[in-house]
Amino acid sequence: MSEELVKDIVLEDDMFEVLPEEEKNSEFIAMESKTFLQDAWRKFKANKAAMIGLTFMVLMLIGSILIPMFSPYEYDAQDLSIKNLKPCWEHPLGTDKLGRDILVRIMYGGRVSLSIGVATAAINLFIGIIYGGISGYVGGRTDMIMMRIIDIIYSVPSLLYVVIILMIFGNSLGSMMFAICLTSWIGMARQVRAQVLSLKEMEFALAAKVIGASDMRILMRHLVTNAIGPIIVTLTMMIPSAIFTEAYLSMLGIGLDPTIPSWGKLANDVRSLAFTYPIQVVWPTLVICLTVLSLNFIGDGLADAFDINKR
Amino acid sequence: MALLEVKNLETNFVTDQGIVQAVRNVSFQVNDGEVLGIVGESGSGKSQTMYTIIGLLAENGMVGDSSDIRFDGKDISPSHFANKKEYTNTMRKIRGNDMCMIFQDPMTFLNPIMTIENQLIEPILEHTDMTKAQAVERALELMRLVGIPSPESRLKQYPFEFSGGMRQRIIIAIALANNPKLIIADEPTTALDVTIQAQVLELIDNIRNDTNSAIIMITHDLGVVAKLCDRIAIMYGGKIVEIGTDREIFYDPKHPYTVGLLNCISNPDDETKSPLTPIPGSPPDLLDPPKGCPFVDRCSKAMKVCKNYMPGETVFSDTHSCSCWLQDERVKKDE
Amino acid sequence: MSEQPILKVNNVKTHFDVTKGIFSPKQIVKAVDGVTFEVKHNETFGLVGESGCGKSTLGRTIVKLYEPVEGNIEFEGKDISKIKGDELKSFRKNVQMIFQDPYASLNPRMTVGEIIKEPMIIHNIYDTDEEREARAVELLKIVGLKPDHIRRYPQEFSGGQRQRIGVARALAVDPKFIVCDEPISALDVSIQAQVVNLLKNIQEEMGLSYLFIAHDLSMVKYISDEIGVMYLGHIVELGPSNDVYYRPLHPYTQALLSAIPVPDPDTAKSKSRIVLEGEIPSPINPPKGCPFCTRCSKATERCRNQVPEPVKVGERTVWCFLYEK
Repeated sequence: MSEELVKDIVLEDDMFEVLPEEEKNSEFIAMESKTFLQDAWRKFKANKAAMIGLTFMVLMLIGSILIPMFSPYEYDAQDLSIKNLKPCWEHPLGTDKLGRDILVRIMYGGRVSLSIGVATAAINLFIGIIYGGISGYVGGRTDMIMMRIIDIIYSVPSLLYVVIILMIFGNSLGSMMFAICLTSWIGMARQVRAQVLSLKEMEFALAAKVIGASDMRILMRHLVTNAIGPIIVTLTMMIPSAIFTEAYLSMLGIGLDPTIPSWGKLANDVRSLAFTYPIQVVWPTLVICLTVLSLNFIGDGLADAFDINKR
Repeated sequence: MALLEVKNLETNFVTDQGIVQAVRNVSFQVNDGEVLGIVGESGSGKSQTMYTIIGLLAENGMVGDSSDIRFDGKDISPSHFANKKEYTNTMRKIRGNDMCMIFQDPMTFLNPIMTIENQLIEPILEHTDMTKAQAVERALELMRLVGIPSPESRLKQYPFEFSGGMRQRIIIAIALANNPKLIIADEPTTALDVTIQAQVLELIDNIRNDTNSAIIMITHDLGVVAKLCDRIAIMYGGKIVEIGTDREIFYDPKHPYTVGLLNCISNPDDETKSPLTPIPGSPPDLLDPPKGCPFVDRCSKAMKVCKNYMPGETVFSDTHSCSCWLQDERVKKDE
Repeated sequence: MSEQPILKVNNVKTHFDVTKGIFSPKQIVKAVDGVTFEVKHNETFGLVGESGCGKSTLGRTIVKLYEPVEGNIEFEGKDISKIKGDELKSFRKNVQMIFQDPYASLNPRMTVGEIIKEPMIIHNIYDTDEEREARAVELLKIVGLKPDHIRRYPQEFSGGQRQRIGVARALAVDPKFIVCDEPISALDVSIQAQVVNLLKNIQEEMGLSYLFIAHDLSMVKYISDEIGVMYLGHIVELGPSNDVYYRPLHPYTQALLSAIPVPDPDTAKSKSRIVLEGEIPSPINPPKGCPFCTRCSKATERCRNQVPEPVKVGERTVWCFLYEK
């Protein structure tokens, strides 16, 4: 940025008159204003990985609803004459050892796994915010007691709870969700508590107290809204976590009812086929991995989008 | 020949929003043994000027091609090196050796998991041939120099065991380790309490008297520059708007910003509490700085020419000059 | 105008328990350890001191962010120690606070308008949103910002502008008393004067009283009618601001004033300073007697064992044995 040499400019005398106030730009504002959500969306859109993740999840969602509805094959329709087919036109992902179309089963499994994931995450969000929020906000002895309760619950291996619950309540979708929720809400509660603990000492939270805001107002309007970033990240991590939990429970044979083709069950079914029909191993593994990856990217993208410090 | 000569320094930062012009055509020099104060507020470019000189510019910082920096006769302008590696290697030999920097926050400058001893001998071992034992001796000498009581027993302690003022003294000791020719101090006392600040300023004053190090003191506190500095440069919006000796700046300020600054600090000797005259408005945005003088939006004497054209330098004496259209003959003619 | 002071602080002590574990010895930070002073109507009381002196804690105790372990505070003649519910809400309407950090004192997820209107909503000051909006715009003008700033977020403003939004928020409830906790420390010099002038102007227009907490003595002297100097949880000297500033009595006040760098080269370079040796002691283990005895050049055995009682010298009060009658 070179500057014109002052000597070389010919300036008229009227340039040396006083500059009127209106032409000054004294109370300057840095950037143009957008609403908070617009700004968050803009940041999210700019994050390529997050957008790819979002696209994948949307496609998966649509696929899991529509494909089983419109496919010529039922998810549990067996036909031993076409068992273990390689991918072909009629069966884009091939068939399994009982002649069932893999694509439909995976998509149907998507309904199961994704609903487990989303439902448990939503429930955990609710419980976690309330428990963690109160614990962090009230602090002191109450906080200590509430955290010790969590520690006690946490110290017992979650597998034990799950087994007991599934034994008592059977292995339906509902009891599986209950079992997963029982221990995974702790992660959210701890995260919310940590956020609330640090935010409640910030000056804007103190200011809210000084202007007379009620505790509930401070907690919800000031603290939780500012903890949204880490909460969202935790939330998006909980979905794959739930899917995994269900998957490994199925692998252990104590998962859902065997007729329900969750992704975990599908993965379990093909375990022994690694050397005989490796392509069948790929499908459930791939779809679980891609889902988890996409959710991670989305989570990161959301965290950045809601982060006020990032432009 | 001056110890440090800076000509036409331009530093820009490439960001998502565009290019931030942090330092815009800055020129000055520092002579052996003198203390130059750089006074400016946030966004004035004072810190970035120094980071550029000492070679600690951020990744996205770019120095203009016509920028020229000479230290002790050597050319250390980043844009004059064939590649980045050569520049980094050259600067590494100079930093901690002939040129040192003291930063503002004593908490973050010291490595919390290294003993003071190790942090003090590090620059000594890096730049000289001393053995470890000799370096430790020198470290003790330095601790005594900066006024740390019972240094022998404190050598093996960690930074957290020292108070803020003590840590700042250790930082000064580290900077002095190799008898630097130039010390750049970036707001060294801003984070300290008043009485501790006074101790540290006195220490710096003593160092200036006892050694021959030149010091560049970056600060926003006019009291600090009045006490320590021989010459003062006033920066605003990435440019030096006025430069002069301490008496010239305080007793004969020419630039409206300098005058404004002096008017808005409460004069300690004034018992009558005459009202402060603040400077209205806020510092300019360096993403899109004004075409003309950066101070135009806040200057009570702004003229039309100030908005569109950058003023040139008016020289009053060997030491005193300023950049302001008010000094142009055509204005003075009417008075 | 009543003669009664608007705020009376009586031997207030605010302590914090920082004991590390269940089995460790008790460690208590005596942040404020017996402070007594008054603020008169329409006056500014300046509170100065260095870090650890307890001035911020005292300010926060007054707005009931902390509760004192001993002593009490009277606002407009009424003891506010045990108030709850509606009484507390009414207190909060009368006593407000301006915070130090302009970057942390505004909720980044609320617009400027929402921030200023929130106190009005909480205290049911207006019935409709239009009325609240109109008042918010008025307040923005009073603090020198533009009405269309109301829809923007705090991040879009500079430090000085944010601080002014903080002032507008404090004024939204039409308070009588504002505690200003280092409101200008984080601002540039040229902006500091803007905020100080703003506070002075609205004080006259709205009949406010201030407690102005800062460590910049020259600014405090400029804005305050009375000054209190704090050291390690105690007030060591208080009186009319010019008196305290130009004719300090307490050895700490004298040292503090002499340590301020004077923005005048001839004076600054020739001035001899009262050298204060040593570090500020920790408020966990303060000295037994006078808090300043460890660094005072005039300390005696008595100073190390007894806490000085307040002594009146003219219009001033000093806590130092040197002035005992």
